[in-house]
Amino acid sequence: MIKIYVPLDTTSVSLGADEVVQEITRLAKQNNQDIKIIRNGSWGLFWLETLVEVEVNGQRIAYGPVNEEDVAELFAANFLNGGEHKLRIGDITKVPYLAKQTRLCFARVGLVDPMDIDDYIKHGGFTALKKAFSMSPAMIIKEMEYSGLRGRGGAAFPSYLKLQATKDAIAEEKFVVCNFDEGDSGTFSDRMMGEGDPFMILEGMFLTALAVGASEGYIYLRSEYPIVRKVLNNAIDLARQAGWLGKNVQNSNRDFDIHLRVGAGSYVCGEETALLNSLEGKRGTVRVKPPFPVHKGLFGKPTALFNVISLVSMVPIIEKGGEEYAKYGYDRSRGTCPFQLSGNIKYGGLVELPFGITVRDIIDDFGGGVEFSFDGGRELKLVQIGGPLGYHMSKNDLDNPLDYEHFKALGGHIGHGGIIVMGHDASAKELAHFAFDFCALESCGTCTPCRIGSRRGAEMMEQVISGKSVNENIILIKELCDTLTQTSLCALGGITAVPVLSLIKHFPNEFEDRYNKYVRR
Amino acid sequence: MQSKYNPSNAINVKCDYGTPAVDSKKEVSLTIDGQTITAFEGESIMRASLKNGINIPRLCATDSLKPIGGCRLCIVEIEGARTTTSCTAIVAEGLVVTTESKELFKLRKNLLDLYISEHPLDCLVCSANGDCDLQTLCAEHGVRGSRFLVEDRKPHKPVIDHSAPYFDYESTKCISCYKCVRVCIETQGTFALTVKGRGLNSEVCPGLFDFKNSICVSCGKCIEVCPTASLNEKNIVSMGLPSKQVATTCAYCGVGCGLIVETKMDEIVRITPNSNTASNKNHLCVKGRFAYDYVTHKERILEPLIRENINAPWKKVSFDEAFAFIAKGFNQIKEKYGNEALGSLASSRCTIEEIYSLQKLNRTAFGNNNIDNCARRCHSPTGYGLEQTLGTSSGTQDFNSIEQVDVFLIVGANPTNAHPVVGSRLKKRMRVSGVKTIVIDPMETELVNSPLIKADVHLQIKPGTNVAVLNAIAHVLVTQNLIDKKYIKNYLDKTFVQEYMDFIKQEQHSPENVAKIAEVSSYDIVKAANIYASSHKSSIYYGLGVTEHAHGSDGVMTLANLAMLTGNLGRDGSGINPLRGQNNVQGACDVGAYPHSTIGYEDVTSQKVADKYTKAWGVKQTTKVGLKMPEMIDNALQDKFKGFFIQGEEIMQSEPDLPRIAKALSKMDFVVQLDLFLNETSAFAHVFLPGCSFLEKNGIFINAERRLSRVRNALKPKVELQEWQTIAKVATAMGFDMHYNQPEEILDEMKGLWDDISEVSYDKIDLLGGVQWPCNKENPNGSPVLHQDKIIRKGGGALKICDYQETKSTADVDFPFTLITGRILVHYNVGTQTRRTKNSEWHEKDELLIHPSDAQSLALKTGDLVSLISKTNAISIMIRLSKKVKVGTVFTTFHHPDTAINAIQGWEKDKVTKCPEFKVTAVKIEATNTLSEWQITRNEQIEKQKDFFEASI
Amino acid sequence: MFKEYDFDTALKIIEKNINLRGGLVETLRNLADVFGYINEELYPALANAFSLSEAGVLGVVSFYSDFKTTPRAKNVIKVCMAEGCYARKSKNMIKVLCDTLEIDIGEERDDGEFEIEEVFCLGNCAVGPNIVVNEKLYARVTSDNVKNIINKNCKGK
Ligand SMILES: Nc1nc2c(c(=O)[nH]1)N[C@H]1C(S)=C(S)[C@@H](COP(=O)(O)OP(=O)(O)OC[C@H]3O[C@@H](n4cnc5c(=O)[nH]c(N)nc54)[C@H](O)[C@@H]3O)O[C@H]1N2
Ligand SMILES: Nc1nc2c(c(=O)[nH]1)N[C@H]1C(S)=C(S)[C@@H](COP(=O)(O)OP(=O)(O)OC[C@H]3O[C@@H](n4cnc5c(=O)[nH]c(N)nc54)[C@H](O)[C@@H]3O)O[C@H]1N2
Ligand SMILES: Cc1cc2nc3c(=O)[nH]c(=O)nc-3n(C[C@H](O)[C@H](O)[C@H](O)COP(=O)(O)O)c2cc1C
Ligand code: SF4
Ligand code: SF4
Ligand code: SF4
Ligand code: SF4
Ligand code: SF4
Ligand code: FES
Ligand code: FES
Ligand SMILES: [Mo]
Repeated sequence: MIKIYVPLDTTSVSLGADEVVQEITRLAKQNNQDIKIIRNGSWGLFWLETLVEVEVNGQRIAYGPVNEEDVAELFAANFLNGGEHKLRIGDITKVPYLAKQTRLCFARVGLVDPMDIDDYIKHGGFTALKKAFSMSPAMIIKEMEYSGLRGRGGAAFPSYLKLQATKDAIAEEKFVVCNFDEGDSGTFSDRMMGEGDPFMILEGMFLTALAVGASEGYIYLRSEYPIVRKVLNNAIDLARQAGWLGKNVQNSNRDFDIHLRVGAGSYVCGEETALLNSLEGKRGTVRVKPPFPVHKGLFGKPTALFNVISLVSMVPIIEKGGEEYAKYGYDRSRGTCPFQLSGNIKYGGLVELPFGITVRDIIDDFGGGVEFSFDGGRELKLVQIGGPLGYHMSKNDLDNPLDYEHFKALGGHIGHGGIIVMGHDASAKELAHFAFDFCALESCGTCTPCRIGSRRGAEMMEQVISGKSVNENIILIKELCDTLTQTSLCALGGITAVPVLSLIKHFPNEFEDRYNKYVRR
Repeated sequence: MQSKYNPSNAINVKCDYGTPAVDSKKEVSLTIDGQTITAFEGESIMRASLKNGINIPRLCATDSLKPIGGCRLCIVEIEGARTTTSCTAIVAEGLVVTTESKELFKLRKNLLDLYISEHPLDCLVCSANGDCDLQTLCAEHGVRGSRFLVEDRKPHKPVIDHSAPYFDYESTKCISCYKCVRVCIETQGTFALTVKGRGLNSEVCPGLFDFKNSICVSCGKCIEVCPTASLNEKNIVSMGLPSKQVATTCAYCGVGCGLIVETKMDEIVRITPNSNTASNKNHLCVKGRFAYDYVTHKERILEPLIRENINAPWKKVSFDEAFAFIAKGFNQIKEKYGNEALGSLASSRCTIEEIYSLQKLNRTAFGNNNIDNCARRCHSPTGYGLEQTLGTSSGTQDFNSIEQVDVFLIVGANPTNAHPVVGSRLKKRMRVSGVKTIVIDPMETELVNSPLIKADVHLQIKPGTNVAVLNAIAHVLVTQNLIDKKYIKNYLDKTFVQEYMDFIKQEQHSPENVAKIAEVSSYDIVKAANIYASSHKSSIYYGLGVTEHAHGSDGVMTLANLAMLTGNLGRDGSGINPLRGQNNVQGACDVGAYPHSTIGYEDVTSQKVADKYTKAWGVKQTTKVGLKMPEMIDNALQDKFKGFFIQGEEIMQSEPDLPRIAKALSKMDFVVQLDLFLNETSAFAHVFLPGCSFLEKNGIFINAERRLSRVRNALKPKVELQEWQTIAKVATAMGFDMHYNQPEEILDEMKGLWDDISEVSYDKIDLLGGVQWPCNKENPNGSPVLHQDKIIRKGGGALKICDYQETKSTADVDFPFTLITGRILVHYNVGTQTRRTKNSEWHEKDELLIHPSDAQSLALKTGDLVSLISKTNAISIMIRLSKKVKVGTVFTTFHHPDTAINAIQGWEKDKVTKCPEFKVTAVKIEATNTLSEWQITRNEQIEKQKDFFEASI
Repeated sequence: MFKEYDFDTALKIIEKNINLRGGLVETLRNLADVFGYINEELYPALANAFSLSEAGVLGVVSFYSDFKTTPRAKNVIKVCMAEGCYARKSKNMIKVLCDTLEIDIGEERDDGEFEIEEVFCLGNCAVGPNIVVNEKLYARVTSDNVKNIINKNCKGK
């Protein structure tokens, strides 16, 4: 029997993975070949999707990108025995794009069968958890402190502090919440983790539960990820059956169970307090802080809420030790971060690296620069990092290293590590308008600057686009940005100014009324 | 909207500190605008500032609500931190805060600019003009228009909703502070409002329907907190702002809410809660806030009317003519039949000064103790039951202690309808997680099931079985050893304990047996007992479902037993509280409108007492107990009772067995009525004396908490004489000189006779927002909680043995349904007042609620007219299907005279106190298409009386 | 794609969730997944199940863009409007799409055949522009191939 790996990953499927699977099955039956198709996660080399791997005496030989139409050829080329073909790549892990990465979080993604808990265990799954069973909460939190882990969801808050505070809160009931809302455009690391190695998320949540003394966990998943929903649900079921979730897990006399909840189309529900409201079945509006979730979180109980990647990062930290993890990274940004390359770029995909690599290097060495073949513009114009409310970098600040402090200094943020490359015909005006418009569309409506200001900003930017009293509008827009930044209740309104101001800064001439300027001279 | 006037009178309105008070009394010190101040730990910077007179701009904060940090205008600078909102930021030792700076001013101005970019600039013609927080702030910040506004923006379509009777909603003026939504949830507890949509589309909305058809109960709180014109009284829209304010007390129910009545040109513009009164915690219900139009209704009678006999037209006369006529009438009867043939009925709607003068008239001019009040058909069993067991005929706590209660036992009371503000306060506490609720009631009230309210146990018992059920609970307490032995030992009267224990242990009281009698599950009875005993902050609140029964007094005493057995008494948060009905029914009983007791509950049969009052009043007092109301009726039927003074009681609608009442009244020689309106009782009156509404009088009401509150005239009296004057002049005309210049003089006289109010003064009442008797040398500031170190009864609390007996009125094969009568929110008792307000828009006639399954078996549907037949009489009434009533029972109200439900209620009464059995009547139900005979003749009579009145003008 | 709405099935869904802590959003989610929208006649049942007022239910329904209150069009097309796809020229493709279906973003066609919904990032940014046609995700959608994708996947015209 021959094992064939075809990803169930959203991107692969969007590029025809399911059709490829059907075709392979059909032809295998025809040539009565005994095969077993395993739907793995994606390695994250998206220009190679659909990537098909065949296991030939223990070795996995990759072919890609494979289309439905190519399958017949592949059979002809006897790919089931690793036969030669123009699409043959060989050992995928030898491909520099992958080889040059430091995969602590994504170590198993692509490799394992996400629908098979034994496969997870075979590849070292749950070792951290087993270790943690014999650790005190204090010890676990210490490791987190040593690791220097900071929240990967955007705020970059030291994770151990959150754990400590939740642990110290006195309550008969506490919760762990996994923030799987991944709303930022240009990001997909949570998604790939959910599709490629779901058990690792459960393990990370369990570690958190042990640290804070919680016995129930919730995953809040955005509705745009149907495949994750399927895979996670299955993972939770398997974990329950295999006694990795539920009462007295693996005779550790520790109880922990996880519930999956699916959102309903609201970006702000990624904000922790709005998320909690949504989990409680309420309107996803933002709550004031204090009280903080660590004290009054889900259902008013102390709650440790973390992003997916923060949670999975805890697994290697416990497994290898905090110091070991802290060896990676740069300055005060320790460990690795799964960066996500997208937009108008040759080799889009997921790149897990220690903090500190410059934007230029990651775009050139991994991304291969802008995609000439593609009509998005022949030369790089700007790079947006950290989602729709992220900073737009000009060509000139690409040597900025990817770490929290440098981006703060720049006036931006790494956010969730999404890197969107844009070619020269992307319009700064349109992007600035988009930022306001997006904020207006997603505003929860609680606070004045964001509820009203974002719409006013969008309107004024429309005027700028259509050339109406441009300079005056830009002056007002800057003042509006200041008001949004200083007075918004949450970061949605609070950082909407970031893209806008960075665009105005880098591309001033696109935002000024040439005619008036001319006249004034 | 919060008013901004500086009242010239005794009002001391609490100022709004923006965010709620904290429990902590631990102090921290910080610097705000250079001023070093101390604040309580956990307090917001806003509260700390406002308490120290440092004002901070704000639009979304108020100290009755948790902050949401919405408007952002309250931003302040904190040294070493980023600019933050003071309503959400918490004080900390050593903080250095700045509330005013160029930067803050600029930001606030921009925020206000954003507001008005969404706001029509109608100030000049706006109903909130001059009373609008947005307007004021824009003025303070020199906002002169919106700079951020682009001309070609598309405004979203406004919502205009004028459907509600008393207020309008217009979304165009809404600034999304969501105070309205939040008070409807947090304060009122109705959850009628929500925010629809998100972002700039967010919009306040009363669900799928307009306000009129939503679940909104028009408490008016949202209008009060709305900072703009978005939610505004129709009155303000049409009349503009008031010019004068007077603090007084609501004259409807026994909650006794403090009111600020705002008027101009001697007309009421608006009524808001008095934030300084303890009973209502700055809240009101639809009646107190809005239902006052009856006061100026054209049918108000303002001059005395007399007639020789009840089949003659009325004659308008001067007061002096009337007094002479009355003196003649009563004195003739005296001569002909003797003192015993006279008596009077005091109105619990009136002030204690007015009631006291009437009982004095009765005990001097009439020379007997034949005086009673509506407590007879209300909480007389409470008076008796609590006196017997605890030694005081009144509730043991104040309403504030609701906030301390951990277990509620609600028996036969429907507070969200009958005591709405207390209902809201109960619900607020019940929503706190961990607080438990047991409800004993045949109906599913809002305390059983409503948004975020789910009773832990609902014993939906068969009407009339209280005593059985409460004994069963006691049985469980005793047999499962859930009792407080120490308390029993130290607080109870030994002589009763052993006997009671032997009695209650008997098998007949076991949950299993009683479950069959009461038609509930024995499991629930056991659960209820366990929950009630699980805390020392368990509190009982009960109502007419306990008292208005053939064994009402037993019901009260069995309830008191539960409190005594578990030691749930005499603490803040535990006790037993009758929800007394009328605004001043507690007062009416307190000041002696009772046939067996004088002011302060002194026993009239004691010679000592008789001598005391003989001395005080200079008229010989008898030691003969007087006639109770129903006894007066029975005597009248035997021609032994001939002359009746009726102050503010519509007995021809509110007494049971109306045909009997009619017969009795028509047999009397001389009936004098003191009332606001000609009502059904007037048909039998020879004299009608015009009374003053509560808005035209001065004095004191005593509410269900024993709290004395001030009543002040907000309007010029529409009638020549105050009621206490009228009464005094009647007495004088009869030859018994009675004279006061001021109500204070009456208060002073009462203080001399009743020690429990000896330290009361009008000023003290204003200052403390009401005082609860006893208010004497020992308790100069009054007594919120009774029975603290000992139970007041001599010898300690008495466990009374009350065995359950089935009432004669129990349903049977011929009369298979049990009729319960009670109340709805918008109408008050006989409705003479509320029917003359816009409240009628919600409820034009009494309806019979019947369970769908019963309706089905009778093949009836909502809107059908049925004939409701009891053993004594029949009336016709429209039905409405409702799952809230218990199968086999039907419910209706007694608010409308054309229904006159009381015509079919029997003469069954509580054996001791003679309180009518209003809560159990066996009936059968048949489809019909006409009014009943009785109703038809009654309606004819009503017409005839109308003609008599027309003729008088 | 979606089931025809019927009250009893809906009630079963609600009853199934009645003990879910704070389960309103989850229940609405389930209803939307099955019927494509939330029928307002369910508000009383929902209010009862989660101890809310009907207004409260309406407030929640109206907050989330996934919760529609009217039946969906035969064919629902979701278009990613976010930057990743923008960078890959989604603009042109979207224009063609709208022209072909003769409706704007966020509109439903009068004949109830088509409906275009805007979404922000489907997590497929590396291979955009992306659209979802009746739940099926398509990557690298261009002005040229968008027509065929629609034709291939949409019954009706
Ligand atoms: N809006 C409004 N408010 C009022 C009044 C009004 O007319 N309208 N009237 C005022 C007056 S005078 C009074 S006295 C108070 C009365 O206020 P409440 O004491 O609340 O009186 P009701 O609403 O008549 O009845 C209360 C409950 O008793 C229940 N009940 C009936 N039979 C039984 C029984 O056998 N056992 C038990 N456990 N419960 C039973 C009924 O179902 C009802 O829910 O309200 C006062 N407030
Ligand atoms: N079927 C049934 N019947 C009941 C009850 C029940 O539950 N069911 N409840 C019983 C109870 S608890 C009560 S308390 C009674 C209440 O019954 P009533 O006391 O008869 O009715 P009220 O509406 O309180 O007001 C009586 C009269 O007082 C007048 N009035 C109001 N204010 C003033 C004032 O300031 N001065 C004067 N002089 N008159 C004034 C009104 O015009 C009205 O005519 O009803 C009883 N009847
Ligand atoms: C508007 C807004 C959207 C956000 N969306 C997300 C998100 O999609 N996923 C996420 O993990 N965090 C998101 N966050 C950050 C969360 O509020 C929170 O800081 C984070 O989940 C905490 O987990 P971490 O400490 O692991 O980062 C968002 C914040 C804001 C203000
Ligand atoms: S900034 Fe204000 S309105 Fe905008 S999402 Fe945050 S809290 Fe809501
Ligand atoms: S609501 Fe206030 S600000 Fe608005 S128009 Fe009326 S008065 Fe002016
Ligand atoms: S009037 Fe009272 S019940 Fe009605 S909406 Fe306003 S607050 Fe809610
Ligand atoms: S209606 Fe008034 S109270 Fe309610 S949100 Fe609008 S402005 Fe605030
Ligand atoms: S609760 Fe009673 S006292 Fe208070 S306003 Fe309403 S009717 Fe008046
Ligand atoms: S008052 Fe603090 S935000 Fe509105
Ligand atoms: S931006 Fe379109 S899928 Fe992410
Ligand atoms: Mo009453």
